Amino acid sequence: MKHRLTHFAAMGMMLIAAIACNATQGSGGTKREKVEATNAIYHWKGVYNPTAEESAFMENHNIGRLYIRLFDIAAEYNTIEQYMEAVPIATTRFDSAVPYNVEVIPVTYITVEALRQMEGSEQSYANIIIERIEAMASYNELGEIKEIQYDCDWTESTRHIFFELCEHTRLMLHERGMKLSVTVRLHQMREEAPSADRGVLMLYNTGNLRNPDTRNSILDISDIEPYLKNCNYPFPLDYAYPTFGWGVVFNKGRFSHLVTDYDCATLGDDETMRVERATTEEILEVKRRVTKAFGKPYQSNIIYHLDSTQLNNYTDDEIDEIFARN
Amino acid sequence: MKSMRYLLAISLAIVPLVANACWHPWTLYNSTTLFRLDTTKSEKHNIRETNCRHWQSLTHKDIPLSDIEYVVYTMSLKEYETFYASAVYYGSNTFAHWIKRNDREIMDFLLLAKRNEELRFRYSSKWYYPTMKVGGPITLEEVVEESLSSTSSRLRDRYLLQAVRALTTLNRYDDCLKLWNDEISLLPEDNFMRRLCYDYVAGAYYHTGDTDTAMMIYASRGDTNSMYYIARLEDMDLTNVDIIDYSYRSGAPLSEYSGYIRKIIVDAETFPNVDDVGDKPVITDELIAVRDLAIAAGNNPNCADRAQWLYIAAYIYAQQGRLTHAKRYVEMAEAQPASDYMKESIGVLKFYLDAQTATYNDAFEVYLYQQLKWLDDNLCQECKSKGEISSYYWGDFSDYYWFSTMKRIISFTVAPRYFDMGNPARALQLLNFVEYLPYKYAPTIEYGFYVYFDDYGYGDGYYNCCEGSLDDYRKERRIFNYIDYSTDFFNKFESQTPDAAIAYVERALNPITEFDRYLNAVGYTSSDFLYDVVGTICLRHMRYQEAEHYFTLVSLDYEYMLNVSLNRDPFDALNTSGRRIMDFRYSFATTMASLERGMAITTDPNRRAKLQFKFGIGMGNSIKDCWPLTHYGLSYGNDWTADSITTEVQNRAISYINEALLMFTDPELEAQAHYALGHLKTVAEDYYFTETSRYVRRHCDNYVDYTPSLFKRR
Repeated sequence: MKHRLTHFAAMGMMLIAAIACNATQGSGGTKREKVEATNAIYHWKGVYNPTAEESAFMENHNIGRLYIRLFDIAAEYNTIEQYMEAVPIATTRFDSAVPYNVEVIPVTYITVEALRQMEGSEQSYANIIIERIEAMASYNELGEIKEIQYDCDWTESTRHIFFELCEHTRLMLHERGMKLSVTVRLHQMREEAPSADRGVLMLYNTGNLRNPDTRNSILDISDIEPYLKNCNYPFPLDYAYPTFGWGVVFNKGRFSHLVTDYDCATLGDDETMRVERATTEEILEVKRRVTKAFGKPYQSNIIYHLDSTQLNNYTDDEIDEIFARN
Repeated sequence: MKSMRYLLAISLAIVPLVANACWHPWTLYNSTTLFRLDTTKSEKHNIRETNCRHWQSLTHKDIPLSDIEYVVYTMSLKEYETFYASAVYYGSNTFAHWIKRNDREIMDFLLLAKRNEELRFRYSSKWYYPTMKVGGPITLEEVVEESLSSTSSRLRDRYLLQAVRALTTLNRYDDCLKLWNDEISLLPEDNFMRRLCYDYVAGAYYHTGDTDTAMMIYASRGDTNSMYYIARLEDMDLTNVDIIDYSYRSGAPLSEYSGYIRKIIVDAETFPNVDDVGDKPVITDELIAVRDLAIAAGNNPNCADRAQWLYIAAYIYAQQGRLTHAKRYVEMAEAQPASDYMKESIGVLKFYLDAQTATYNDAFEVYLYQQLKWLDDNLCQECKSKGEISSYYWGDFSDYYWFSTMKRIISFTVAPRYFDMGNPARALQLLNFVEYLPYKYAPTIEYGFYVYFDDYGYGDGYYNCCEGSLDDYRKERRIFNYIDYSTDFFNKFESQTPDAAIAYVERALNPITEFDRYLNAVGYTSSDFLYDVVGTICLRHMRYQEAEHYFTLVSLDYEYMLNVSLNRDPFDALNTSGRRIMDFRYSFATTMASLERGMAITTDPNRRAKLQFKFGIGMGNSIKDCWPLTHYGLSYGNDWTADSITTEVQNRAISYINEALLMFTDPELEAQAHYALGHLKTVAEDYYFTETSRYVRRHCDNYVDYTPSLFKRR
């Protein structure tokens, strides 16, 4: 009975979301939300302390919105009370101030194991997550928070927990005049959508990293192509493109580890390396097809992520082309 | 050559199968200890009680401490706020009634204290982030403000403690130290609230960079855990013994850090970090260092805890096996003033040392009897003080000090010495006594079994929970009896030789002295049980006539109190039958005894060969698939399949069978014997003209292949 109710509720949410989507992204809506188009980038490090190059990058490319991962939520064993619980870990430390003219969107990555621990207490967790984000924003002077984002690779068995968490979070945020966004993985495009105001379609890590036959696990058009059909999604999407690379090391054909230093001289006897990086051409081709399939981004094309060692592989013009909304 | 072939075939058939029987683990050496220091006067361990007594003195002497404890410690903030807001209290708590009617000041204070604790709890959550709103009607800053502005002079010290708690939670360490220096440190030294502030103040010193002062305060309080924690944080080169030494030299009462010492000493004999536990303590350098410190402290005339330090030294000497030194120090400890509690610990250690060094004679038995009664009386008191014991079998009695001491002294010292000196009867009496002693104080046990809805033990069903006496458990026909057949006592009893076991049973069933009767009153001395074990041991040792005698003394119903049953016919060499054999040990014993008698008087070779053949098959099966005839279990920890008596039974069984096969003069009977052994090819080929061979050849297509090709039908 509970499942059935949830199902109806979810259908209802989809309907509402679809109406909302029409109102914001479509042309026939009566209540249009003001869209603040700007360039955006993810910050996914443990310490916020941009180098001079990174600060210059933000300034030169008119970064108006910064998606900063504030903390992860993982499952940990409470040794005193002796049970598993979902707790914040890897909280980002702010060693520098965020530029005043950049809007910060706090992001929280939630592991699937943590989701399982939240079952039945989704409302409480929604509350404490928001409280913590607000506290961090206040303490680190992140400016007015208009939106928070959940990043979670939920599974079929944890979907109902994530959806419940989103539902409660969204309602609580609305009471505060804020929005909820979620990251959307390509495979999730074919699934029922969670209750959120908007989303970011992650156009990276599209392939199987561990498979030695994968050409490029970061971005491969052939991996994306199958998802560019049946293109209705119940809430507006922005698109995130990868500007990073790595070396995938295999030992005797089995995945071993990732490296950022591509020097093959460091490889062992039985090791091989697959160097992966999305070229500008590939990114732009994906962008062209995704835009054709889903329409222009709701607010931004987003780059993942703010790291000068990675961004140096792209020229300013190339970056601008990725950011361009038309 | 022919006999060699049979020998091989029979040998393979008699290799015992390893089957598992359920065994309760034996009590291990490392689950017992004698070591005990007096922590009854430890302030740290009695904070709650002491505080409640202070509240009692502030309110009314007739208010029970339990009522105070409920309001002060157990009652949640929410419940207290409701109580606080209500005009009248309708509950039964006398403390709540009293403060509601008479003491608004205490009401206000407790509200603040509970709010403070709630806020501090929220701040310590992993979700907490600075500036995070932790909720509640007030903030911690307001707790500080309210505490310091209180005008209640009689509760002033309590408000100061609340302020200190809130300030340390807010990381306002300088303010905390200022408050300490300006006001709290001026309170009398014996002020309870002042003493409770010490830990917070030490923490404040540490967080403001004054590690030395912090360590000094912790040491003077005997707070070894905090010292250890800071030593690790600061990467200090401080060993566990250094921390104990520091506490001792700082004048901390031993009762405050005795847990730290206890851990080192008890770890040496409970092997928490070792998989393969032994039965001797592991002597480490750390242990020796504690011993040397204990000797120095025990010999220090200014030391307040000399008896305990000397006891520690004696105990470690005993762990080392240096018994003369141990006795000397235990006598020195005895001579020092000590609490009754500590005198008991010293007395137990003295008994333990005596048990290891005394000559076991009549005088020692008198002493042993007195000491056991003393331990038993104390166990009785301990059980009463700990309240109802719900279950022994599934519970654990090792946390009962007096049982632990009894077990260590009897099972690991006295009984082994009695065995060594050739008095297994007394050793077994003692082991039986100590094994069943818990049932004297925990007469009810819990057990259960699965009941299936179908008749075959598969599919759906339910778990049937039972509660009853040990006797009820024994009589429950739907379960095997694992309790009586998985004790240390039983393990030792059933591994005795028949003569030793018989001697014990005679003594147990015919007590001679008062000590015998005392031990019997507790132990399991049912004649059915004792005779069944003796009979089984006799079967194991091929003493069938005696086995028959003892099994005739066991009642028929006793079969349902065993931990095993038999589903094989012991005289079927191929073990093809699967039905349950009732009264299996008695039946087997009488048949084997009868066969043995028949073999002795029969002269006809064929008749004798038949008897001997069956006798050999029964003997071989009794250690093979029909092992419940001779044993009570076969498991990893109790694998008797390679012991000398099993090997001898196996060899003799093979010998009886081989001799019987050679003894037959009638080919038909010889063929029948081979058929019984499953030698079908031999029957088919070598006894071709017998009825048995014809039967084999005609009744199974596969056996046709064994027919010589010359005669094979086309």
